[in-house]
Amino acid sequence: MSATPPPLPGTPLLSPRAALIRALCGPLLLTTLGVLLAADRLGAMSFSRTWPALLIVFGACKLAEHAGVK
Amino acid sequence: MRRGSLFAPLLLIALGALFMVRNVYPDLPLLSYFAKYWPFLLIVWGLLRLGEIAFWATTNRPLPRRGVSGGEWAFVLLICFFGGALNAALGFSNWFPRGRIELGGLEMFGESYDYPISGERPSGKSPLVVIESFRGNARITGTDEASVKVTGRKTIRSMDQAGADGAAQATPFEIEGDANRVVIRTNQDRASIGQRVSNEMEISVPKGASIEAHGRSGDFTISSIDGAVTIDADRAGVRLDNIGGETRLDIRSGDVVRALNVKGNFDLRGNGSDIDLENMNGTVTINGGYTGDVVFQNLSKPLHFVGPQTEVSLQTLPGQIRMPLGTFNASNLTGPARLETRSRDVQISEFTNSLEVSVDRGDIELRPALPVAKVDAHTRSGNITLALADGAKFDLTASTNRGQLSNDFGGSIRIEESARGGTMRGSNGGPAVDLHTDMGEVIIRKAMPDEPPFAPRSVREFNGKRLKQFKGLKQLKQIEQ
Repeated sequence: MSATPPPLPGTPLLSPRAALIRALCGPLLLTTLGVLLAADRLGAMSFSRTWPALLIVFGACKLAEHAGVK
Repeated sequence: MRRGSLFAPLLLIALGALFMVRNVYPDLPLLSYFAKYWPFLLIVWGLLRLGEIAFWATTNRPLPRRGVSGGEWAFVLLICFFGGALNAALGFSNWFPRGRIELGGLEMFGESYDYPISGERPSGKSPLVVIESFRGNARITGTDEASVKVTGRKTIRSMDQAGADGAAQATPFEIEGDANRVVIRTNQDRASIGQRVSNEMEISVPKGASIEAHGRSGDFTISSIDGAVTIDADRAGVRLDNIGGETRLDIRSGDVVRALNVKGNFDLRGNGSDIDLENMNGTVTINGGYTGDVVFQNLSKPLHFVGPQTEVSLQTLPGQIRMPLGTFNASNLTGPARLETRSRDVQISEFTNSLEVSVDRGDIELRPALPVAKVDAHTRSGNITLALADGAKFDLTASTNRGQLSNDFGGSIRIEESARGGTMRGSNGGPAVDLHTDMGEVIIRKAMPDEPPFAPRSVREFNGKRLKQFKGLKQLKQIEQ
């Protein structure tokens, strides 16, 4: 009977919560991008001012994901 | 089996529905809608995907490694590039390459700083008043005084007072010239990038003045001027009342063009939304795409309207024409008149002289005044209804390649039926009335004496149309101009 192979070095095991956060990261970024561009188009805020929000969302996702890694 | 996202099939359904709508209403400016609202596509896409993943997580299904795959991000980039380019190309903004946009009523950063402006220049009785390229609103009124007077305010959007003061000094208001030519200059283009300057001006000019205005965006309201009016603007709403001379408007992306009591010829070019012309004593020429309400009422000279899908020409219009999306309603017009359109349901009542109607897709309903005018109407796909009053004289030939024929006039009109369609013929000595549809019914009926016109004349408020106003002014500071 063969044992389960060990994970490759450097490959993190994700908890279900971390996997969920990682899966949500892309859609969240996409929604944020859409909101910023819509705000630009409607004349509320220029995208040239608000684009750092994308970095913040991406960073927050990565942080949350990191917190969930076993 | 790998589970795909709902977005792709929903996108296909949405695209199919959009193309379907486009086929039914060819005038619908879908590209323009996409250029304005494409970011919402990204929002819907992101929210859908969020919902999907949340649903999979709560039902313990396996989650995808990436919520949005690399290919999908490439598609997002394509949408952004295409949407931004289209937006700039259609003139909604100068997004490329400077990244500046027009700010609307809702502004999150910076403050509005207000500076009063005023100036006066003596002039002759009929000077040319030139307003150089500016952003903002201008209300121009003719008076009996022999001078050009400007009052109003300059609004500067800036992060702080010092920046606003600097911009105010860099963009001095100027009025100069001589008795024959007065130039009003706002110097807004001297403001640095990131600061937006707009002016709101009340300008009084001699009644005999001519106006030449160049605007980037904003509204012009001009009244009681005996001279010519020439406006050249990127984005503008225009209201004219009581203009004596020729009017030439060239507006790349117009909002509302409303003209009342214009004595000279009227020439409008560009693209926009609504047109509303009433009591026009000169020839009216319009060339461009207008997607909102188009209304003409009481035109004393010929009208030539050339749009991307519709062309209209006629001699005079004592009555009214209305062209909401997908329809053309007119009553009381004098021919020779010609209408050519791709896809509209056409209803015309009380027309005289001659009428020529050509429609690709759409029904045609005609009710000529007496004596009946010469009519030539055909549609490729749609019904044709002709309502004739008692005592009408005509020489009728009405045919359909595929469809039914119906006749209220009994034996005076004979029907020759063919395999799928047929022809009706009947003459009592009047002018030729030729009707033909490739596919659809042809109905000849008796008109009732009390049937209302298809486009009854209406009384509308001159100031009732939506035009943007300045708002949200928070601080006022006076400086040396």
